[in-house]
Amino acid sequence: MHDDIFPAAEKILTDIENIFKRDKLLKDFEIVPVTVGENKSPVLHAEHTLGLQEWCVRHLYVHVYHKVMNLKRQQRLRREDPSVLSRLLLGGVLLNPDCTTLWNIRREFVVLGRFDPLTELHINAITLSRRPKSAESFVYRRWILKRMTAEPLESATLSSIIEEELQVSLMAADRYANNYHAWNHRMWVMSHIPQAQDKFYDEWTTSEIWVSKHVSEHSGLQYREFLLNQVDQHLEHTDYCLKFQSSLESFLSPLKHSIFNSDFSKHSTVSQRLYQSFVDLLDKKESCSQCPMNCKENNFMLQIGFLAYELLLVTDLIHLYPGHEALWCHRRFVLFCFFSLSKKISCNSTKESDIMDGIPLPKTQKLCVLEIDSDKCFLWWLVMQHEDALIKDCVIKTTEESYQTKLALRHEKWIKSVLICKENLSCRTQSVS
Amino acid sequence: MLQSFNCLITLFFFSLQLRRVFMEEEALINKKLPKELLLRIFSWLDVVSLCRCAQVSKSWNILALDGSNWQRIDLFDFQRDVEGPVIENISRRCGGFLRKLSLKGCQSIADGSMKLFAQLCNNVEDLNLDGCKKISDSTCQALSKHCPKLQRLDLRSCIEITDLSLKVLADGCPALTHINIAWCENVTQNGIEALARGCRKLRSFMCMGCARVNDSAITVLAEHCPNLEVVNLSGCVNITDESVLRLAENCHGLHYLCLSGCTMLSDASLIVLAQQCHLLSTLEVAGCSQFTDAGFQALARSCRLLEKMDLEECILITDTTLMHLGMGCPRLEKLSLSHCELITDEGIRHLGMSPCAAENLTVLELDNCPLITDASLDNLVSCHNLQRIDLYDCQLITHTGIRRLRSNLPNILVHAYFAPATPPPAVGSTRQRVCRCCAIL
Amino acid sequence: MAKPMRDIVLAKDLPSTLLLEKHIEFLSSYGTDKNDYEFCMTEYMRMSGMYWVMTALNLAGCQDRLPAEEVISTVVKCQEESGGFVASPGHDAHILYTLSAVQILVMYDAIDQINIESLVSYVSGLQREDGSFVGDKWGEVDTRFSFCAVACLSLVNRMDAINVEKAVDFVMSCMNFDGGFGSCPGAESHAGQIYCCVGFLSITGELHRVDADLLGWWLCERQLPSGGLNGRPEKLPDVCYSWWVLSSLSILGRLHWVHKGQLVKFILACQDTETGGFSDRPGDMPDPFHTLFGLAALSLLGESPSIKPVDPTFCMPVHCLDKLKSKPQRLYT
Repeated sequence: MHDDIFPAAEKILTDIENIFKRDKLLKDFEIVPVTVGENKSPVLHAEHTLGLQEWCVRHLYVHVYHKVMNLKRQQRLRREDPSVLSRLLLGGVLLNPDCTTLWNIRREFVVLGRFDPLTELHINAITLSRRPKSAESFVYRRWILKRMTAEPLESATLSSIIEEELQVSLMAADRYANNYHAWNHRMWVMSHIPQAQDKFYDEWTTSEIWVSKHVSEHSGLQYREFLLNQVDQHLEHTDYCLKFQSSLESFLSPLKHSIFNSDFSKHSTVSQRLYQSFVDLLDKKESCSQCPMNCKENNFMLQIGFLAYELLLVTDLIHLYPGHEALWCHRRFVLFCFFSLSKKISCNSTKESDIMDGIPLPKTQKLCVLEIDSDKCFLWWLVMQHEDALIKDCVIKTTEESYQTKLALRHEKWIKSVLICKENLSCRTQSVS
Repeated sequence: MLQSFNCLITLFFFSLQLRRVFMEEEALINKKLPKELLLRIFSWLDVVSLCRCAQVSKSWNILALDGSNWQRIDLFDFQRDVEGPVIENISRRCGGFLRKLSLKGCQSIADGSMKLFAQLCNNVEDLNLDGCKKISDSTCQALSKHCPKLQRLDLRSCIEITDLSLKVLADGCPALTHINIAWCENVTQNGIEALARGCRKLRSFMCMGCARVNDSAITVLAEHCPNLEVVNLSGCVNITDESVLRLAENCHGLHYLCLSGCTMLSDASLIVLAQQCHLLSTLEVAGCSQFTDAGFQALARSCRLLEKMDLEECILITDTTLMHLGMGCPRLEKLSLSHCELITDEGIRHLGMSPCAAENLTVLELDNCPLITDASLDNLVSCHNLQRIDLYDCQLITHTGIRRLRSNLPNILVHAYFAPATPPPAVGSTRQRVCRCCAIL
Repeated sequence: MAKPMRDIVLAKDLPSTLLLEKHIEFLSSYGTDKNDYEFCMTEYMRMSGMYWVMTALNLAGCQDRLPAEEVISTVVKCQEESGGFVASPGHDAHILYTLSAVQILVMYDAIDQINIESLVSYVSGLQREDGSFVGDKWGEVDTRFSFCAVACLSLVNRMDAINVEKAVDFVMSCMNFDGGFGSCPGAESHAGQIYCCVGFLSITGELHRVDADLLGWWLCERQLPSGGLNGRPEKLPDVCYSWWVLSSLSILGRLHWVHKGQLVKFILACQDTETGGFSDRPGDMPDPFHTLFGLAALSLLGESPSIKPVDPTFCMPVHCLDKLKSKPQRLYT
C-alpha cells in the first residue's frame, strides 16, 4: 500500500544495496543536506562513502518501517522474497540503528542462515559510521561476534576479527566524544575474544597516543584503567622491562636527594626492602636488563613501574593541558592503585614472600578503611611527594580562580578526605564544585 | 505461529497421546460428514492446518495424518528449522502418496534424509530443493534409483551438485521435463550432454549463472531435446551465436528464452531466432551489448507473438528498434529499455502509436534513458493499459510531465525519484524528539 | 590558555518559574499519528514513552488527562505469551518495556489485569548463572536490566522468584574505584548506570555495600557552575542527569550535597516557553523523557509544591507505591 505513496523507495533501497554489493571497502554513511529532490537517484557514492540526500529520508524510512512491520505483524517475514527483505532491512538499520526490532529481525535471519555474519558486521559498521553512539548497533555487533567466536576459529581469522573490532571501536570513539559504547565495546573485545589479550601491549601503547590527543575524554582514560587492572597478567613481556625501568628512574630521580636523606627505619620490612631496591636502582647497582624477568621481586617492581609510568604521563598531560577534569579523575585511579599497593606493603603482618609474589592490582575496587601513613610506607611517601609537587605547581602557575587551581585543590582534598581518611569527610561542604 | 516445526512434527507423528480433546467422536460434524468427505477437505489444507486438525480429536488425528492428505507439502515457512528427522518422518508418513514436495530454503537438509525420502516416496513427481546447499550428488543418485516418475526437479543453488548428478538423473529419470540447475557452478559440458541424451522429454532447462556451460553443451541439448520451450542461459558468459543457432534450428517450440549477460552474442543470434522461432513470446537479452537495430528489425518482422522483452543495456539500439517493434509486435506487453541511452522521444512516439500501445502495453521501463523528455509521456497517453512506467534518472522528465500523464492515465504507477506530493508531515526540526542516548530506562 | 570548563552559560531571558500548565498541555497532546515519521522512528520504545508521559502527568496531578481505560487496555495487550511486554504490538518483548508496562499498571492500580505469574517467570527467566540479567532473548547483559528485573518483581511483590544474592553480587562486581557503577564489570562509571545500581541495591536492601561517601563525592562533582548536572566528567549538563544523579544522592541520603538553588535554576531554564515540556538543555527541542525527569527532579528538590512527591528508586509518585510490601531502602545522614 505504501508503494503508492513513494514508489521510488524500493528503487532507492536497491541503489543503496547495490553500492554495498559493489564496494566491499565501503566505510561511511552520511545524510547529505539536499532538501529538494530531482528525478535523480538520491543515493551517492564516492570515496567509499555512501550518501543519501536528505529529502528522501523521511519518506524512505516510513516506507521501510511500515512494510517491515506489516510483514512482521502478519508473520510473513520468512515468506517474503529474500531480496526485497534484505534491502528493506538494510535501509531500516541505516536510517534508524536504534530500533532494536529491526536488528532482531536480522538476528532471526542470521540464525536461519540467510544472512552472513561477516556481511552483518560490515553493515553494522556502516551504521556506526553515522551513529557512532548507537547502543543497539554495538549490542548487535557483540551478538554476531559471540556467535562467530563460539566455534573454534583459525588464528588468522581471529586476528583479523580483533583488528576489525579495534578499528570500529576507534572509529566510533573518534567520531563521538566520550563514547561510552565504543570504549565498552573495546573492553569487551579485549576480554571476550580469544587471542585479544595478545594485543595488550599494542593497546597500552596506542591508547597512550590516543588519550594524549583527547585529554578531555574520560572514557579513553578509563580504558587505560581497564588495561592497568590487567597489568599483573602481562608482566612477562621483556620489551617493557627497560621502558619501565626508565619510568621508575624518572619517578625516583627528582626525589633522589630526599630519598637518600630520609629515615625509613620505622617502616615495615617489605617497605624497607622496596626502599633498598629503589636505592640500588638509583645507584645502578642492579640493572633490570641483567635480572631475568622471572624474578618475583622484579615483577613487583614492574607493576610499580607501570603505575609510575602512568602517573608521570598524567602529570605531563595536566601540565600541558590545564583545566581538564578527566585527567584529574584518571590521576585518582592511579593514586588509588598506588594506595592499595602501599597498604599491603605497610602491613607488617603479611608474609614477605606473598607481597613479592607480585601484588595484584585491585580488581574489586572497594576501599577498606585501613590506616596508612606516608611515614610508614616508603612507596606511599614517594607518591605523596609527587602529589604535593604537582598541586603546588598548579596553584603557583595559575590564578586562584582558574579551573586548574580548583581541580588541583579538589584533588588534594579528595586524597585527604576520601582516599586516605574517610572519617574526615564529615566536615563536608555543600558543594564541591 | 509455531515456534519449532521439529517439535510439532515429532509431537504429531509419534505421540499417541492427544493433548487436548475439543471435539468428541459424536460431534455433529463427524456425524454429518462421511470420513471420505473429511479426507477430501483435509487434502486441501496446508501442513500447519493439518497439524492443528490433528489436535482436535482421535478420529481427526487419524484422518489428518492420513498419507493421502500429504500429497503436496511445502515447508518454505520453516526453512532452517526443518531438519533431517522432519523429512524422514514425512517420508514414512506419506510414502507413495507424496507427489510434490517443496523444501525451498530448507538449508539443513542433507543427503541422508533425502536418500530415505527417495526410497519411501518413490512416486514423487515434483521436487523443489532450491537453496538446499548441503545436498550433493548422492541425493540425485537416490532419486535416480528410486524415483522414475520425477518430472520436475529444482536444484537451484545446490552448489555441491556436479556432473555426476546430471548423469545419474539421465539414467534413472527419463520422465524429467523441467530441470533447474541455476548457480550449480560445478556443472560442465559433460553433465549437460549426458542429461540431454537421457532426458529427451525436457521442456524447460534453466542454468543461470553456470559459467562453465559452453556451445557444445547447448548443441547437444538442442539436438536431443527438441521439445524445449523454456531455456534460461542468463550469465552463461561463454556461449556464442552457435548455441542460439542450434537451439533455434532444433527447438521450434521455444517460447521463453533468456540470454541476459551473454555478452558474446551478436545480431546473428537475433536473426536466426527470427528465422526459426516464431512462437517466441518472452525474450530477455539484458546486457547483450552487441545487438543492434538490424537484429531487432529482423526479429520484429517474424516473431509477432512477442509479449515480454528485456532489452536493458542493449546500448547500441536506437529509435529504429522501437519503430520495428511497434510495427511487428502487436502483443507487446512488457518492454524494458533501461539504460538504452540512444532512445529519444521519437522512438517512444512510434511505440505510442503502434497497435500494441492501445491494447497490450502494460509495463514500460525507460529508466536511465537520458534523452527522454516530457514529450515521450505525452505520446503515451493512448496506452490505456499501461500500469507502470519507470522513469528513474530520466533527468529531462519533470513533475509537470508526470502530472499530465497521470491525469490521462489515472491508475498508472510512475516510478521516478521525485518525493511524493503528500509527504509524511515534516513539521518541526529534523532533530529527533526523543534522544535514545540518554534513554536509560 | 587553560581551557574553560565544559559547561553552558544560562542566558538571562530563560524561564525561571515552573510552567506547569504548559507542560500538562505538552504531555497530553504528545504525538499519536501513526503515519508520522517521528512515530515510526520511536514506536519501538513506545511503552517507555507512555510511562514517561503518564508519570509526568501523574506527578503534575493530571493523570486524568489520559483515557485510563484505553491506556490500561493498550498496555495489557502488549503482554506476550512469554510474560514479557512489547513496546508496541509487533515489536519484541524486552525487560525495559516490561518495567515500563508494570510501572504504568501499578500507577493505575491495574496490575491485576495481567498474567502476573507469567510476568514473574519471564523476568526470572532472564537471570543468568552469574546473577546478571539479560534484556531479552538475545542475551545482552547490562546492570540496567538488573534494576529493571528487581523493580518489576518488587512492584508485584515477587522478589522470591530470583536469586537475589547472586544478583547483588553481579551488580557489586560492576562497582568501580570511584564508588560508581558501569553497565558491566570494568565499564566506566556513568550516572545513569549508577542510578540503576543504587536503585537496585535499595530494592534489594543492600545499600550498605555502597561506599556512600565515595560515591556521593563523585555524584556531586557532576554539578557544573551553570547549576546543571552531567553524567560523566567533562560532559555537558543535561536535565535527565538531574534525575539520575539526584535520585541516587537522595537514596544515599546525600541530597543536600548539591547546590539546590542553582540546580533548580538550571532545570527551569530548560523549559520550552512556547510548546511546554523540558529539553536536555536550554533552547533544544522538548520531549516527554526530559519533561518527566525535569519534573521528577524538581519534586525531589522539594521546591515546587504543585508537583507530587516522587519515589527516587522507582521514579513514580510516592502515593502509588502504598501497596508495596517491602519499601525500597534509603540511607540517612
